[in-house]
Amino acid sequence: MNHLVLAVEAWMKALESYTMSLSEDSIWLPFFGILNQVPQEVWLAVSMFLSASMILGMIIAPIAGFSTFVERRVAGRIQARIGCNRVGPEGLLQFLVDGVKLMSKEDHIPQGADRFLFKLAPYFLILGAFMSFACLPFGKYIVVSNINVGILYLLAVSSLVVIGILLAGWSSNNKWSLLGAMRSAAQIVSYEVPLGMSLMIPVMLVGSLSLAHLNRYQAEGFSSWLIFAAGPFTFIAFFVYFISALAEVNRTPFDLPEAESELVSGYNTEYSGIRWGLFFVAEYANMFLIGGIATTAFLGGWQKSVANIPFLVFSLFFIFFALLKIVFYGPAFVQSLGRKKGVLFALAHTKVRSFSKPLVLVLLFLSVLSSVGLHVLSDFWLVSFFVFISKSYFFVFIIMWIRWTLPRYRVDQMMDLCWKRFTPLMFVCVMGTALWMLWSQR
Amino acid sequence: MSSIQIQHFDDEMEINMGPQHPSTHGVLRFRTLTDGELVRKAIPEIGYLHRSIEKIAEMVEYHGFMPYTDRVDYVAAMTANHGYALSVEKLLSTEVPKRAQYLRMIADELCRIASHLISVGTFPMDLGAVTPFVYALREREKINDLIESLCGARLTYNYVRIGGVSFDMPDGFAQRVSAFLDQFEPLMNEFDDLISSNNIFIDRLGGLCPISKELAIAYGLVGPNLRASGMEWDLRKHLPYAAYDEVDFDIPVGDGRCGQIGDCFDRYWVRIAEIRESVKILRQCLVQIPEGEIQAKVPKTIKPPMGQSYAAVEAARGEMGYFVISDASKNAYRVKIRTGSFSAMSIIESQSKGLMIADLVALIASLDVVAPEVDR
Amino acid sequence: MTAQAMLSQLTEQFDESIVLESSHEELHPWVRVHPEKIQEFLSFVKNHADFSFDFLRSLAGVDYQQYIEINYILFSYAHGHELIVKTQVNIEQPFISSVEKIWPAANWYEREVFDLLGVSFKGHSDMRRILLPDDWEGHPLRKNYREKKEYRGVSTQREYLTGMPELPTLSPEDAS
Repeated sequence: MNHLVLAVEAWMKALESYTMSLSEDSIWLPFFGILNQVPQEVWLAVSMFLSASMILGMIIAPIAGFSTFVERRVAGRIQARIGCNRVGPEGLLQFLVDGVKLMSKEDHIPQGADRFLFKLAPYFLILGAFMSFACLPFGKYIVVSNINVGILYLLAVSSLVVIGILLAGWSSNNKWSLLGAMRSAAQIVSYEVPLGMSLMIPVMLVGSLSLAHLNRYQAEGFSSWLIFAAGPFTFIAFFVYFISALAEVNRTPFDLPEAESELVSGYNTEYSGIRWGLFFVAEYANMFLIGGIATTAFLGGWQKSVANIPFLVFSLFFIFFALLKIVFYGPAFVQSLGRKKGVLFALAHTKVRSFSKPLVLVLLFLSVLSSVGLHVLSDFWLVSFFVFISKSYFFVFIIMWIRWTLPRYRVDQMMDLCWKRFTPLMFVCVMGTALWMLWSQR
Repeated sequence: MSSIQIQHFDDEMEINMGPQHPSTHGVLRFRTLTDGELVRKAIPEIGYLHRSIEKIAEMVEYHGFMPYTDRVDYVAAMTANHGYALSVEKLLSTEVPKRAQYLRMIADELCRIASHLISVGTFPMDLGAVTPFVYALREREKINDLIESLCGARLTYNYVRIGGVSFDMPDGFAQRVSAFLDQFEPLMNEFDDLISSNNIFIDRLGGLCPISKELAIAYGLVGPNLRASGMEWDLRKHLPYAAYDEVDFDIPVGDGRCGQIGDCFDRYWVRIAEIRESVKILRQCLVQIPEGEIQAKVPKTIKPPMGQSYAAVEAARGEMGYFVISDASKNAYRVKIRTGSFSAMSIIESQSKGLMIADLVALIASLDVVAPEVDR
Repeated sequence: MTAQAMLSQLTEQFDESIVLESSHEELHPWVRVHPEKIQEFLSFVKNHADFSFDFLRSLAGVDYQQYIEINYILFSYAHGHELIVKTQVNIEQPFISSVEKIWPAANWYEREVFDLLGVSFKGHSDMRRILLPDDWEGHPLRKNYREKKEYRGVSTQREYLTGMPELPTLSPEDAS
């Protein structure tokens, strides 16, 4: 908030000085005169709106879109097929095409549906998902709002999703949707209990609800990660958090609200076009959010540490393939450019040179060296951002892996798991952590 | 396909499940009375795929009806062909050449594997796991390729003729089949690793909806559904047709390994075990198949003597019987087709009481109901 | 038990007014039973230890134009023998008692016979059409059945849709 106020003050000063510098007969003078009259609060509101939409546009939408791409490729890999690879490099831009397709589809609202609530419901989901991102620390300086009750805020805001799903199910005037919505409400409300309690444990250890404090606590590398902070208790809490979070976002094995083989498609049965798409943007954003919270609360956040294995793997992967492309496409590409045929022609007619094993090994060695070097040496804020993203995406990948492997629970088994296993377990863990803290202080 | 007024209680909700519903394989419909998630009653409404095949049988000649039998059960059409051929051959008292009988067995067993792969593949899909289905279908495609090289069709084969089969094995067919079996058998273990030993899968199905042996017999359940209830009965073993008495195989029986005898898991497990037995039969057939004719002498226009015959084969969904009545003309006077899915479907109403909606889906999937077989 | 022994025991048990006819020389042993006594006869062959026909393989109705014949195709898992029980139903008043109580499997078979041949089963718990819609006219497996040109405004004839000249509908008499 302070940064924003400073920025707005600087902006207003610049505006004033520019207006002063304008000549008397400039046609722009009245315009800037009015701009100068605008009070600071309005500028503040405008800048907040702009930064919020920046966050949405620049981070969350690509994250959700990229997640759908990853999901399709991961599913393809698991199911012995290929997955999307046509639009853009390796199908990376598929989500854009999907989005355009969904927007151009008929927006159908069933007869007898409550039109207002039917239209309102997706926004609740989007709101719940996007608002949560506001306090997620993506990197060293990359956080929208560093509020001091971060975890509480996250839990509160992510509960908006229930309202959205209930509205969607109820307003559709469809019994399957209603059943899905009821299942979802029961499920999300129940799993909020173990979820909240598992997040209590890091909060107890750190003594603060702020996500920045959680991050700072884990700054000393691997050994200071909160997952290892209180012996078995935090370890258990982490897994309970992860499983409960799966239930929170209705992913397999807890995808009962949209169980396609039972409830057709659950609460979003009657939705079509971009409204349906919004449900999925929210779902994928929420998936990333699970990874983000798990990373921040248990696994060191964006802090650079020795064992950021996901980051190492991801950066290795990217650097290796980037090098590979440069080595194999580069010379031919430059050559064909030299013939002055234009970039597109060059791209289209570039021939890949054949592989040679020693070259690949050298490239692999280079990429290992550079990814480790990037990781250890650099203190650049962008590195912290990539550390966070890679850790979170590691969880997104695990969620997808589960999704394409496991069948789903039945309603009563799911409730059993929550109330008879996780909730007592978390009580034990919270007590255990408290005792652990007492014991380690002494 | 009929509409009755169902008496509702205040806390009951009537949900229409099907005919277009992801879990009803084909076009089945259940009118489900539920109390929230709890099913009070699921009333099957069938007939959406009724094509009057029995009526068609009265209007076409004996040979001409063979392609229609494909459509009785298009998931495992070969056994449907076989049953009809057997029944007419019985009327004609035709002796089928040995080689043709073996070819029929090879085709039947390939078809049985293909059909069971659909069944065990869609079962986890109905429980929410999509991947096993893809694995099963990948193998089924290979079988379709094999059968295509045998008879030219991939789904509705029309391979069996009255008195024999239409084509002999093409060159290298036996090698291709045994190569497929070598590759396929370990994949079944992979399939088991993927889903059969999955905890959630077992929790969902173990002890769910056990059908006792007595109940299964009373409702006329046949095939894998009957065997899952603990009844050791297989037409191939106990009333052998073709050359099944010359091959050696076991009858897998439900043993309640994850709950009670005859529960949904047993029905799944019997099918998995039957796939392995079919592989065993196929290997023996490929070795034992004799040289010789593939078609007995049968007149172009069949006019069987007056009489009636009932012949049944062990199809993928159990006993598939053809009751053929001849009036010594060139058309059959009446053909009644007895299918496994019809009786499996009829047991659902009495078994559905007190299940969850998710369990109802599992029950339908475990009985391996295929809509064309129900409606004919 | 051989077919011959089985039939002779049955003819001993029931007098000629019940078991009207029997034969073991055809492909399957069969008996023709008086329609009034069908329930009694079938429950006897199901429950008697010597027969124990516990499996109702199929239930086929056949329209012989003067009468409708119901075939109960029975099988015994315990003894491994088979029997076809036939009975003739008056085509003008097609009523016969239901055997649903003896084999629950008969429930749907009888509904199918009711639907396709129009035989009503007395004592059946749920006697309504099973394959065809409730308001379908006629019973398709009757030999004198003529399909209506349309059902609820939907043409049942393919030629009509493609604009081809209308062909006569195929009926068993035309075909034979």
